[in-house]
Amino acid sequence: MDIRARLVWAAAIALSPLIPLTARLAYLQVIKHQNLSTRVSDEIDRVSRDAPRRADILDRSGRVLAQSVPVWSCFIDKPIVKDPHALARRLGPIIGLPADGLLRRLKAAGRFLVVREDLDLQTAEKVTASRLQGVGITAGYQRAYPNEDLGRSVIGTVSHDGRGLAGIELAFDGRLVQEPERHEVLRDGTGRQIYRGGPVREARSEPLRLTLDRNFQFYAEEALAAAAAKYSIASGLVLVQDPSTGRMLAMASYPQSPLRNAAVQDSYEPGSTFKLVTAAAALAESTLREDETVFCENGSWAVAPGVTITDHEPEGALTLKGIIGHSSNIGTAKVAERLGAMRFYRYSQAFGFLNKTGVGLPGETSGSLKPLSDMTRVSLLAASYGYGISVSPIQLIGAYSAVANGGTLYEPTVVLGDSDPVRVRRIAKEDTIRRLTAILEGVVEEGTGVTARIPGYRVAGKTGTARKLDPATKKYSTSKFVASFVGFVPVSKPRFTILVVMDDPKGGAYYGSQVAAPVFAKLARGLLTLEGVPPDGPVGLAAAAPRSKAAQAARF
Amino acid sequence: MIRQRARRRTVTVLILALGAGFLAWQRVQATRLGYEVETARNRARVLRGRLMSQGMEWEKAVAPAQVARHARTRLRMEPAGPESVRILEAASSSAASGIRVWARSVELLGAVRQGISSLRRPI
Repeated sequence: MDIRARLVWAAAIALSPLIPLTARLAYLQVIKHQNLSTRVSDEIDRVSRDAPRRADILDRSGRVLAQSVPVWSCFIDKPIVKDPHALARRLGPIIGLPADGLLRRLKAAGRFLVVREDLDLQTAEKVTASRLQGVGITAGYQRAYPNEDLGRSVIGTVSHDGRGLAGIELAFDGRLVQEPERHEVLRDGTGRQIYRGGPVREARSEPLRLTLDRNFQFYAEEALAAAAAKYSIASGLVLVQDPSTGRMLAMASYPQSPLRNAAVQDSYEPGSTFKLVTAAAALAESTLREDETVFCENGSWAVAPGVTITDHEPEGALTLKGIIGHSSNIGTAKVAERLGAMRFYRYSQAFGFLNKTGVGLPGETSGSLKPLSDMTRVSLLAASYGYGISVSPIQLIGAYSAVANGGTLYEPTVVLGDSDPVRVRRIAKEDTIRRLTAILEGVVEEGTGVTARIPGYRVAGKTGTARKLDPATKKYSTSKFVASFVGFVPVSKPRFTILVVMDDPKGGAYYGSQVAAPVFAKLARGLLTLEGVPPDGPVGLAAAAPRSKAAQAARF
Repeated sequence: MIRQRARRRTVTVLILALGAGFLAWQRVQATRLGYEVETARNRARVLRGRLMSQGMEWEKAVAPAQVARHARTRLRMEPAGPESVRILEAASSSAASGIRVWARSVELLGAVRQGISSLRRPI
């Protein structure tokens, strides 16, 4: 046997033990590969999911209204704990819980115990450093509102697991919520993770920018809170809108609730503020010449057996400007009678009433008015001065904004978008709007709204005082009212439309001019100063002092 | 011939050994980097948390209610009214140049005064 053959034999003998090993290896690697690979993956491979961070909500200037801040949760895996007494004694003081309470929870049924879910970083680090067996820390996010309750009725709230429950948080939940990030990791023998793949940087979703202004919102809430304290109102709200775009700048509610936004969810009988529609229709349809007068029956008009319309002050013959300026119900009803139900209904719809505005907030009401087919003479006359009809505050402010901007009804918005404001329709001709604005300016200059005057600025608006319907008697109350004022300023180039509604003011004062108009003036003064809006009125215009005896007497 | 073949084998074995060594090394490096990335991610998460907490503290401090409270109680300030707003008219070109000349002369006068006072200063 030559040397070569010997070497081959020697090598074959030496390597022969490897044959079964190779066969085994081939079996495991090729035949059982899938099965084993899955088992290994289950044991050491993990997909680590970072808790999703909900996008921020900002005001129109980028100031934070809602933000998700990191919090740490502390949990205990009970079976791993050897001495519950010692654990409770050591962990309790760190996380700020009484040891005996913690021990009781440790002894309760269940494997995992979430002890605290709102730990700050320092406490979480202390817990980690204490190296207590069976105690773990997980990171998560908690929704925080740095301005406390500011604008919470609009912003809404989130549930325990970070999903929107109300307001913007609910309406834009899909936009705000983010998918959890997935990372592939290995886990070593000690449980430490080894990164294998996936995004390293935290994905950030774009913040949601609102049209609200944090400072305006504060001014509105402050003015409303002061009035609420002064008049002990049951509820109230203040809305501020940019009339040129329909963007809502402030939406304040009293009492404040993150689960409810009265500005879009509630409707109410608007009273005299609804006379705007009757006046606009009369002007547009030329129902009444500007110099033509209507006899106002000296304050009392029996329109049907048992139905009498009254005015707060006896009035004689008044022009349309006088009717609106003195807020005569009888005058307005007579104008509506000439107008007819069909045209009144058409103009109510044109001004955005009876339909949802499309503001995009949850639970919006469309308001209500009897269908045209069911409308009687009495219901038409009542609706003409804002009774027997219900509107939402956001509809009402939208209608006045349409007058303020020259006649375009915009869809109200609360979220700043890339697209232009949505024009719904043109409500009337420019000339009609100009004459209507002059009438509304007259209300503030020498009518019922003198308390809304702001020295140096031209203000237009309308007061409203509506009796509340008593649900028990189904009759209008003689002691409960809804006082309101809605107007815009400055008239030459309106920057703000402001609506103030005060439900059931107490202490003797209940007229819109007494209760709501001063809130309008106070808030408007603040906003004009804040924005540095130049005066457009005659310099040195007397402060809110009525100019005539009629104006002094007029309170509706 | 045999020597040449042996050399080729040696080179092949060396290349294979080097390749295996490289694979092993890169595996170790990948694991080491995996640990480092994970540690860095955790650290980043903690730092991000701190940053957010501080951002939140800042936002709370500049919340309008807080600012208004401090302005009224600590600084005894009153909210301004629109009458305190002054709208300055744009200056005409001649008035603007006049203001510029005046400002320049005030500046020069100041420089001259400063020069004189430095000369008077005792050495």
